[in-house]
Amino acid sequence: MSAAAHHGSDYHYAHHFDSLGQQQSTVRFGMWLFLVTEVLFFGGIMSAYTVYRTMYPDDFEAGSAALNPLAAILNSFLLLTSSLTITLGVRAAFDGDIAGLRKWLMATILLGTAFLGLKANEYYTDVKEGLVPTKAEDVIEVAKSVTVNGHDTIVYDKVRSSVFARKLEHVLKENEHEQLFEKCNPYRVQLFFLFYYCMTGLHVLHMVIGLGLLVWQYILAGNGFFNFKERYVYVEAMSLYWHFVDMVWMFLLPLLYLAGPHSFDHLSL
Amino acid sequence: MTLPIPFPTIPTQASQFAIESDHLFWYITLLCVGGTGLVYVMVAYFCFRYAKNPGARGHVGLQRTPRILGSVKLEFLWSAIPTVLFLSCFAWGIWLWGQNTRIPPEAAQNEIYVVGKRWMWKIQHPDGTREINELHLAVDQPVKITVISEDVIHDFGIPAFRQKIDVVPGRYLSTWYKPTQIGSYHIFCDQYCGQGHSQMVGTVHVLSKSDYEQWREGTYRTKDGKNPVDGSAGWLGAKLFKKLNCISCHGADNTQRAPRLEGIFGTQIPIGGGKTVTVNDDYIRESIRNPMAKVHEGWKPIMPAFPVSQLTEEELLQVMAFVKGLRAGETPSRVEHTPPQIGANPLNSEGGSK
Amino acid sequence: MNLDYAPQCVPAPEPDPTKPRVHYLNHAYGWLSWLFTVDHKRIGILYLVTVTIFFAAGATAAALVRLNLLTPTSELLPLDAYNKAFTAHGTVMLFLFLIPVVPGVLGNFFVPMMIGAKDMAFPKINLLSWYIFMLGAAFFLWTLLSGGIDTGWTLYPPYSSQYSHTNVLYAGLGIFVAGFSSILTGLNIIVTVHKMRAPGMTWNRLPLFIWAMYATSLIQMLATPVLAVTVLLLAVERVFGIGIFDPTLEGDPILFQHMFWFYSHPAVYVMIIPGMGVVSEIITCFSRKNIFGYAAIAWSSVGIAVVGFLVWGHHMFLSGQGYYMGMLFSFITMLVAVPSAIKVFNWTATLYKGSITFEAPMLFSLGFIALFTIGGVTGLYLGVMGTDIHLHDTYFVVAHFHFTMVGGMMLGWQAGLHFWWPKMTGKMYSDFWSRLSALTICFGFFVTFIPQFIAGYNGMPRRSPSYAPEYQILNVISTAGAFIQGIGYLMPVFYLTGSLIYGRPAGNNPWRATGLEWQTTSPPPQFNFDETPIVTCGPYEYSLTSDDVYKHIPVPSTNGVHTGKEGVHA
Ligand code: HEA
Ligand code: HEA
Ligand code: HEC
Ligand code: CUA
Ligand SMILES: [Cu+2]
Repeated sequence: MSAAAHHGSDYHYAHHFDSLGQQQSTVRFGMWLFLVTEVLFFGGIMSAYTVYRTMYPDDFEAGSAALNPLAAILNSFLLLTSSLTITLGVRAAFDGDIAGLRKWLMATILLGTAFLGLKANEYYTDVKEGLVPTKAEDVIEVAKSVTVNGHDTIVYDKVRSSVFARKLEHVLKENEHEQLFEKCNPYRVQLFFLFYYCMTGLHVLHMVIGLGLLVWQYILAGNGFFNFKERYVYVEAMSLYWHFVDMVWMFLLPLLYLAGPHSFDHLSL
Repeated sequence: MTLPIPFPTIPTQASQFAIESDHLFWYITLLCVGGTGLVYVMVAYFCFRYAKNPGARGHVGLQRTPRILGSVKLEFLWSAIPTVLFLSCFAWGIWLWGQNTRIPPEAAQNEIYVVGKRWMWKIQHPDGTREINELHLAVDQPVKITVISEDVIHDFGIPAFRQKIDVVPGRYLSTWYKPTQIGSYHIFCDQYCGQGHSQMVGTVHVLSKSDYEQWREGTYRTKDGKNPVDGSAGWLGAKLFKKLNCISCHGADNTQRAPRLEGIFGTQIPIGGGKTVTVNDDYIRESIRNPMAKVHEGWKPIMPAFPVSQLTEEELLQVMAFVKGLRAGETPSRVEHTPPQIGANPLNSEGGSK
Repeated sequence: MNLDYAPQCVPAPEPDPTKPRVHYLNHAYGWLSWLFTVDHKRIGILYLVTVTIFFAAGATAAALVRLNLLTPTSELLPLDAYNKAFTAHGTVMLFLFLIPVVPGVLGNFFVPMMIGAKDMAFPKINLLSWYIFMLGAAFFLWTLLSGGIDTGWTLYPPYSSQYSHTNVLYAGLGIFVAGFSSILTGLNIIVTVHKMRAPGMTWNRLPLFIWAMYATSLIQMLATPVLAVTVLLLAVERVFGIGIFDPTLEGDPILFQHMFWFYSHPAVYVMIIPGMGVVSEIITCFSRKNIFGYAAIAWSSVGIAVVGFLVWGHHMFLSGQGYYMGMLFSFITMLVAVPSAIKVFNWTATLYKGSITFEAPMLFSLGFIALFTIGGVTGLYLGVMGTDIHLHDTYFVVAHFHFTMVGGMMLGWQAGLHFWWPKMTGKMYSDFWSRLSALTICFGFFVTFIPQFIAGYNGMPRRSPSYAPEYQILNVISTAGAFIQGIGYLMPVFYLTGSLIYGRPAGNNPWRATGLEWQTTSPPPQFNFDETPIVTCGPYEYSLTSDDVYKHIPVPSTNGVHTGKEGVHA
């Protein structure tokens, strides 16, 4: 948001530009370039994800099956709707309709906040279920039938067991996917969860920044900053960012939540 | 040691590969000296030939220079010629690389394991001799080298052989040497690995055939053959196999819980979903560190994982040697009490070289 | 007025020396006028001051490293202190000095001026990126003060993530933050070049420095985000003791190397292309000739930038990445070396039939050509898979990258600084001392780093405080060279600073150069040009007179060599 000096009553573009058109196209171009760098940012981590996913397909399926896709799908609807509202906001700003602009900005803010709320709830559940990568191990006793002197008897072996593995087993059982647990290596499932937290975490961070910018523009709109129609270009740049964040989510959804089978009977929010 | 040379110029070529490597090295040097020399000569010549008379500096209208904008022909020439030269290096280079990685069968029979651990090299010969920071080789005898790290990334480098290989945790990498010149040469760790990196050095001794035999005698409890009396890697592995209770499942007297490991090395086993896997070093290692990774079809995934804390990389190599050498009917039994081996020297049953 | 060269626009008249003049340095005073400036020129000066300090810090670490290597047994420093010293040297030199130096100082200052703009496209973001840079630097400083880090600048896990006891986290944060500054600077420059060019400044009339900065910015924008996310993943592993590069989870530490070099190989071109741009400007100016092969030089910059993204694996031949992967990377490495060769040959050809003078900028530029060529060709040994087996991670690599980075970019930077100093400050420095400095640095440089090639070929591993005794003689020579070099670097500190006070006024255009930045007053006015320049010809019309251009007379070719387009180069 650079250099929108506001001299007097007429709208002036910043000192270093020759025309309004130049300034507007510069702002737009700058935002597009910024988004290119963002693509590389998420692209980096998604490539890493892809590498592991191809190396360890079963384990990533199991990890995905332990997640709650219902929340994610609801969230997708929220975000898609917010992309619509922000676009309507750009339209309003372009038409100089300040009330409309404020209305649509507020709608976008609410939808974004709802997304974060759902997401927070989901994190909370994940943590409660123990789906947090850890190297912790404890000793458990496992019953085994052994043949001793021709008789089958049960003995209890003390076995060191990964805490995470047991939590994962539990969750997958609840989701009726214990067959996935048998196939997976819980260590590698932890890799999946590391990706899950890093990728969604980065996305949440982008959402929070986006919401901050939205709130700021909402306040600016109230202060009459957007009374100059020409400044709609800032709302437009903002909306580009918001669409981008939305799009990242549309990639995360299949990568993280839809990688494994799901049965929807056991889902809850 | 034959090391101190007052002013190092060309290091000893102590292996087959060193000679081949140096051929390419000097070929590239020739090109580079040629190319760089050309640039230097031209720059120097132009600078003298076209230097402006200092007195004339700043005078308008003197000495107009020709307005030369470029030449497509020249551009083409000086793109094409370097490309061709560079690619010739490339082609030779991949050939040379192939020499380094394609392990001939006579080397594969003689496999030496190197475990990198901050900050030492632990070396294990096929017959169980173990050394630390020292590697004895027989001249002209090709050996395969397989490396793995117990902690961070190291790199096992022997300049006199012009060879090195990264030592990575969690995976085996292999190369091979054919030493051709008797002598003692440096082993360096060439990948930064922390405080003691510069001291993670060792010596490789290339011995004549007879010296090599003598060295083996001298260091080492020998009993040729496969009998588990000899302190070989397999023998140590057998002990671990019992100590770690592998036999509680893989033992001779229990056939329902786990597969027999006899003769599995080199075979193909099904792992479900129609897939098979060849039993090799990596698979055995994985089966022990992470049994869940690939489960032998028809068996339950009940085998516990054995992390480094229970079984070091070195010990793992011993267990591996044991499993590899296990032939039909040799699986030890859980209840068996092996009497002390005849001829086994208790002093030699543990510990490193010498 | 007829000039014996054809400037890109009508030059401004020399100001009356007796009358006080308002320019960017004196239109406002006080700390705040600097700290809150959005003027690209002042921001450039801010970078100049800060990166110079960081260079001194990095050089001090280099001095420690070299002193310690005088003896084979590491008598000066304990082992881990040495490890911290070379890591500090590498990280500070790269992230706080070499990457920001030319884009930050010369790029900021001259990109707008050379295309005839009043400022960068986003002046506030420009200032912001300086602050972000300083924040990153603060994290580094904190790392160094709180005991340093000992991972090497490459930060390979699992050492960096699970074993090192030092403050990797803060250093990582520093890299992460400084990276954003780099991204924003790159973005700003690209937008500026696209959107802010003066009338008549077509793409074919852009000075080659602009092309170089454009290519550099492209890399900064596309590669740095990947570094950011890589460092972030490393930080996660460091903080939680568990992460995606962790081999005990069957994670792959080699993946880190892939991601790191995906950034860091292109980044080495961030560290050379700007230098190449500077040299292209200077060679033509001091041989009074059009650049030979304008298009070839311009597009080879872009070519290096693009193809440079596909060769990262040549740092990892030995890591077990696989034969065919290595083959591919080696092949592309050979191809990416070609554009550099093209540039070197074009510079050489530019000298042909020139009218050459040897002021300090030219000496530094010739030094650049001499040293970079050696640095570049030794890259071939490393890019060829077979020879890299022996040379990987030895002093051969150390010598290679100092030849490219110090012999290349560092000299390029010095050349640029000396070339544009009169424009930036309005003062001329001492001719004698500046030439002496150039010669001293080049001489010291050879003495320092040629022995390292020999040591490397003999197998001396890098990052080693102690080494086998037979390498001592080479190391002693090398240390001696470093001190000669050090003296060479210290000289400019004195004569350049001195010139601010004692230097004679430089005039608008002391080198009689053609670029737009020289057609305004020195130091430039607050908005660069008193009147918007109108560009009438290509950037390097040293063989035409101003009359030729302003009357648009086609000039016949004056010799047998094919001269490309006849008449004014459009
Ligand atoms: C400014 C920085 C810079 C530049 C420009 C380069 C340029 C090149 N580099 Fe370098 N490199 C580094 C900085 C740089 N490098 C650094 C910092 C490292 C170490 C990182 C670390 O591990 O810490 C490194 C390491 C490095 C390696 C890894 C070595 C190893 O660890 O084993 C390799 C391997 O391929 C390599 C290759 C090359 C090549 C082929 C070029 C080419 O682009 C060079 C092209 C130029 C020319 C070829 C010269 C001009 C040509 C002529 C004049 C033609 C005449 C010649 C002939 C006909 C032969 N470099
Ligand atoms: C911009 C990049 C840059 C620059 C300019 C330099 C400059 C120099 N470097 Fe650097 N170097 C690197 C980048 C750079 N280096 C990198 C990236 C590494 C790899 C790090 C790693 O492995 O992780 C490295 C590693 C490296 C090593 C290998 C360490 C090892 O592997 O063990 C050595 C050894 O000789 C060395 C030496 C030098 C020398 C002698 C100079 C000389 O040119 C410096 C000359 C200057 C002086 C000698 C001092 C002058 C004095 C002042 C300016 C005032 C300072 C004040 C006081 C001394 C009081 N460097
Ligand atoms: C609790 C029982 C149990 C113990 C203890 C056990 N294993 Fe296993 N092991 C199994 C089972 C079951 C399999 C087959 C399923 C699989 O591949 O994981 C197996 C498979 C293997 C395999 C792979 C061979 C194949 O057919 O897939 C190797 C090698 C192996 N074990 C070695 C060992 C070693 C070495 C130890 C001791 C350090 C050990 N096992 C301890 C139960 C056990
Ligand atoms: Cu081990 Cu360096
Ligand atoms: Cu590289």
